Amino acid sequence: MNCSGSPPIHGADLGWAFGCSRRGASHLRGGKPCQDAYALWSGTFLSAPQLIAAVADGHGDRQHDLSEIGASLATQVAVQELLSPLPKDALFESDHALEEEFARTFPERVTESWLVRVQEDAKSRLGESYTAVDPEATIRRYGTTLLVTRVSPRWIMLAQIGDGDILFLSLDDRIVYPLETENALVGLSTYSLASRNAISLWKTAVLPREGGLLLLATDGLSDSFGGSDHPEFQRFVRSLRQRIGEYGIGKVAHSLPTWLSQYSDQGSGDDVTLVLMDIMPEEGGNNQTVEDTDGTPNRSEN
Amino acid sequence: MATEIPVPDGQVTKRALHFFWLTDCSASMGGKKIATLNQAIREALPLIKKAVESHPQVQILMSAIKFSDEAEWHIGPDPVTLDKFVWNELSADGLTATAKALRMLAQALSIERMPRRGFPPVCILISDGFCTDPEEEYMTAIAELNKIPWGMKAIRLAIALGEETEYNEKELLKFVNQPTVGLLKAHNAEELLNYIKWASTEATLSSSRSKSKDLKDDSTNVVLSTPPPTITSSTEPF
Repeated sequence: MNCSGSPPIHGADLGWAFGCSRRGASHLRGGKPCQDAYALWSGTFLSAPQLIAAVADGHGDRQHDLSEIGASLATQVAVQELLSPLPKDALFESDHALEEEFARTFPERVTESWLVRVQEDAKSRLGESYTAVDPEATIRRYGTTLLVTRVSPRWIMLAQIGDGDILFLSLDDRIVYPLETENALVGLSTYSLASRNAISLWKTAVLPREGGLLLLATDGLSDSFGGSDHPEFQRFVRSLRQRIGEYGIGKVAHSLPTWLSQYSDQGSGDDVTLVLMDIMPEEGGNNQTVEDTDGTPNRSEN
Repeated sequence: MATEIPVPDGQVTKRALHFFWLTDCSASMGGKKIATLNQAIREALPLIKKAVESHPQVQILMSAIKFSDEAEWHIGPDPVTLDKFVWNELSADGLTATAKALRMLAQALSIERMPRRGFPPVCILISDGFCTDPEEEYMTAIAELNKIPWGMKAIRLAIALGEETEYNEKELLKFVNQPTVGLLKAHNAEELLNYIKWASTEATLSSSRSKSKDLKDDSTNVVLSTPPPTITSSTEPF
């Protein structure tokens, strides 16, 4: 799950997205794999363009020794569930009504889908011994966070379980954290898809679509700048957009792996994953589409 | 040749490990005790630095609270990086305002003052006597530490100096949250030196190793190993 070279860039009528995962400096030293994963999807669903991203951070503790698998499965089921969550969402007249429906249904479905995939993997990986051990302990081995977004013509849907950052840099340079900060989390503890009450630990939001830069990242990134709400992290986000404006998406995407490795090496030491989405304003055109979106799933995972 | 893009702005920092010394400077600490304490902390610093060499993602930030009639910052409230940390000589005089020192610690560990993310703080209390603040004040300070997130997460150790009749073991144990360690009892200068070095390096290492993320609902505090048996050639008490 170690991204090399230029990250893939996905375009749609809504904007573009790219992402990258890098194995953390401390993981390199300790011979541990990259336990982050991400997935991007762009295409047409129900006659409307959609841009979907999922980012997951598998837990590093020894008891979560299959967390890189858990993270990868989480990003896969997230895309799958976001592609059929609310087939009638175009009929919702207000973001509030849609938000309620999304909050009511998505966490349960994505969590349960993940558990099913984890159990399937455990059966194939552990064979007979899977049934002999504590099922909860087995699931914990796959423990991971998950951050997701689906951008459609009218809405930006967001959901998150566990730590990591979802933030939005508006066209007028405001940084918005659409999901509430989890005050109960300090240190390096996190909520998880493997938590006993995972469904209740999700945070969700639905925003009317507006233009701006949407960022999804594992905590290895913001921890390298002093934390999510640290001014240096916000400076980084604004500067990143300036680099995109100045040098173009392709060149920034090409530089991203080196930058992320550098942040991990000089900062948190953790795996780092960043997905960036430049969302076009509703009335604007997209002149930076890199790949055509004809409705064919256009998926990438690292 | 491709254009080199400047790295985006933003100061990159390592994850912080906050280290607090809480040192008793009451009159009974005078003479050999305070001299040994000063020496031991100075000698512990290079050992701590060496201990975290294999954890380059850790930045140790040190502070110190001294207490006698009152509690005050010896180093702080802004913490100092280990490279810039200089231990200035402490002298001994006055009472033992342990409760006031613990209240200062609780304030420093509050979510408003400490970054939400980071390694569990390390707090080492060194005292030779009974707290002279009202018992209620002491219990309130302990309750506050046991309530706030970083107070609960912190590695809290205490080193008692002197004969067991000279300090309040029960009181000091209320501060300690490492059952496998318990109260470290230094009967002489050599034991104090050894305990300060062991506690500061072991707690730092344990905190640094806790980088591996765990589940909130399963999370337990960092657990230190049992301290090594004290082998001392000195029979001369403080």
